[in-house]
Amino acid sequence: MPESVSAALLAPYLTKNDVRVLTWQIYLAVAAFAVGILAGLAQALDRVMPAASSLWTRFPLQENYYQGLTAHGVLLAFVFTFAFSNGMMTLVAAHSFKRRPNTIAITGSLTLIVVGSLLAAWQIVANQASVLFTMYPPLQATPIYYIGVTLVVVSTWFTALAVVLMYRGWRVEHPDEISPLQGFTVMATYVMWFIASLGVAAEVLLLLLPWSLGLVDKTDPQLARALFWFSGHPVVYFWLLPAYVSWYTMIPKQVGGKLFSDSLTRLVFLLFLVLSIPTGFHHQYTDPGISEALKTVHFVMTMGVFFPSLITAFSVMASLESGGRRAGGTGLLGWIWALPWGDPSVVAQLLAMLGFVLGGISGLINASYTVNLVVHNTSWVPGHFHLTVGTAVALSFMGIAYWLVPHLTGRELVSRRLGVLQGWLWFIGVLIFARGQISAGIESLPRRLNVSKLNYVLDNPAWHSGHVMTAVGGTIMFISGALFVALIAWTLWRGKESTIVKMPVVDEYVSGPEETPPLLDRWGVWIAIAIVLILIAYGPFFLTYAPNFVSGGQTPW
Amino acid sequence: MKVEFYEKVFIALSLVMLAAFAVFLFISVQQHGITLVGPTQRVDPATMLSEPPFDDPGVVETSDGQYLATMIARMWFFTPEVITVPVGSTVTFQVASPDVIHGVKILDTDVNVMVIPGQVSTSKHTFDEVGEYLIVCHEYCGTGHQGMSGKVVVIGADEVDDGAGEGADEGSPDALLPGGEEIAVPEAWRSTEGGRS
Repeated sequence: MPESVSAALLAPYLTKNDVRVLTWQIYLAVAAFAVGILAGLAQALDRVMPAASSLWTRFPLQENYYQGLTAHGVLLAFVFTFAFSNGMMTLVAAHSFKRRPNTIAITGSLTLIVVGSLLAAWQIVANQASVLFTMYPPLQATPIYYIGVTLVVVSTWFTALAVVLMYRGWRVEHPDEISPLQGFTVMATYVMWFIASLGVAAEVLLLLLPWSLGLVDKTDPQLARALFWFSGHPVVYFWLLPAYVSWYTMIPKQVGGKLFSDSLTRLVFLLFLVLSIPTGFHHQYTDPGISEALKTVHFVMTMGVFFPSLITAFSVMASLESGGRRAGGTGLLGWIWALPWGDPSVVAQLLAMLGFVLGGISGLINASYTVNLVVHNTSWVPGHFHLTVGTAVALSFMGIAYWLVPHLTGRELVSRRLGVLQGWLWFIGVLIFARGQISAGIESLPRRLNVSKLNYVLDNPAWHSGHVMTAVGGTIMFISGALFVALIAWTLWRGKESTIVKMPVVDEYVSGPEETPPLLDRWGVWIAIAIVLILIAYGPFFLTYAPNFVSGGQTPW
Repeated sequence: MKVEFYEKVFIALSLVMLAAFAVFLFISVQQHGITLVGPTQRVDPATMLSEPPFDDPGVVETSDGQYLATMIARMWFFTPEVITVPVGSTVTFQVASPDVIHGVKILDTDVNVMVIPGQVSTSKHTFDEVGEYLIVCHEYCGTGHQGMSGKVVVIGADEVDDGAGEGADEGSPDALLPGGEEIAVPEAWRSTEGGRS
């Protein structure tokens, strides 16, 4: 831990210990990211290796392909994202409400995610849990693995508690004011996620853990999937919303622009609160145990949850344009070139937004259940989500880290140029990678596949070119990711000390908080709407589904 | 709440676009008769292999041009592995798994279902062109997942006597690696009922 002046420490409401705890969340995120992308590199290279090659077994965590794939998914989709969010979002809420986070809540959150990650990683390394991050039974991991994953999820509840307590404390002192925008967006994210995470919590605690412990012999694979996807779609927004917090409330400041509208920003986050959860069956269009009628209901809701992202496209672009025009950009598109393309934090996030355009469009295709029959469970799907969570989220987090780590530690980023290069490399890499996965997926290449050992040969040029692009793009992404880890490590080790890097906070609006109706700040109403929509979307299923406990555990690895 | 003019236009266009997507989807469902798999019947994975219909997997002609293909998806092969039908046949697939979750995707068709232990998955397709249609398992089902495939062979009307409507191969005992090497499937992998503790 470098002992230098941190801007976070200068805040009167944060103690040294608070800053240290939040900083360690970010360190954990970066460490999980480093190991996770190494596993990813092995998977990318597997696409182009001859069948006899055993190069990929020399990578750590590669006793078999699916062990590495489990590590990749768990470390990146759960540990990296959750730890980063725990650290960043707590800090944003603290700055926004100008309050100290509860010590037990933030220390608990850090302790749980460290212990949980280590337990899960231990079981994956021991090859006792090659169940992938979706952990569908009857594939059965050890009880320790399920406990580890549970602790990782529960750590986010402790962060949620810290956020809610800061909000309550602020509200008591300001009963009649509109809450500060950044704190509001953090609240919306964690309220949504707390409700959403109850599905996977029920799956693990009521089904998987007792079954893995041997307390019950059989489990119900269909019910487990329904509970998993209750959380499995909204988790996408739990990953994404910290990036949205940055795009809405920080990027406008970083590019010298205005936020378009305070009230529409709040409305967008509230729409995610009410619409994220009642959409899970669009991941289960091809599941036999769920009726076509309910799948259709979830399809309609899924079209609805695109709406806040479309508003976001408008608002964020308007902020960028206002910044670009102030910086001297003229003409229809001239403002784009006037944006600060030399700022690594901005560049990473601008490119993340561009990636999200493609990710969003491919997501709309997944959600349309006619076309879903073409792409479901093909490599199209990882092509899609490497553009969303793998770029819109991950690249935004890297961009955020470029100011966040200096803000927390007081160390200046060692090289802005390498930071800019890193963002571009990731973006170019993912475009090639996703193009390969998507084009092969349209031609039915299954996802989650140990390609070097593929037993059925199809002379399909789309598969072959897809494999090559996946390998090339994935390798470029790995190089970029490794550069990011190196830049952060180098910054901690050799970064210039005593630099004050503040958290960017938007302070100019086209339409500001004074125009915001109080209804947009009333949590009870919006939580009630969210619960009603969940009851409409999931009530008929859970009320009519007859449990079907038929499956003993299987460990085919 | 004040909303700027351009933003109002954008919001209206967004809502119209999303509504149009939904309407177009429902029209295409009507026009092409697209259906999603739904609950039909359940089976007990422990006993399904000795009970009808999965004790006798294969293809039967139920009426003129209509076939019923009863398939088992398990680690790591399909039974039958090859389904042969004459061109123009409409085949209803009913698939179940005695072990873990599998998937069935038949290339160049809209047959795409999950096979979840305890549930029977059904899907229907009319094969209008002669040729071979690869069947792949598209859900991770263990270390032999990449070896799990089958095919539908659609033959010309003049070849019908050569065994159309038969499961030509009742399934191989174990999955094969690229070189023909068999993957042995230890009995211990098959089940760890009663937990692992």
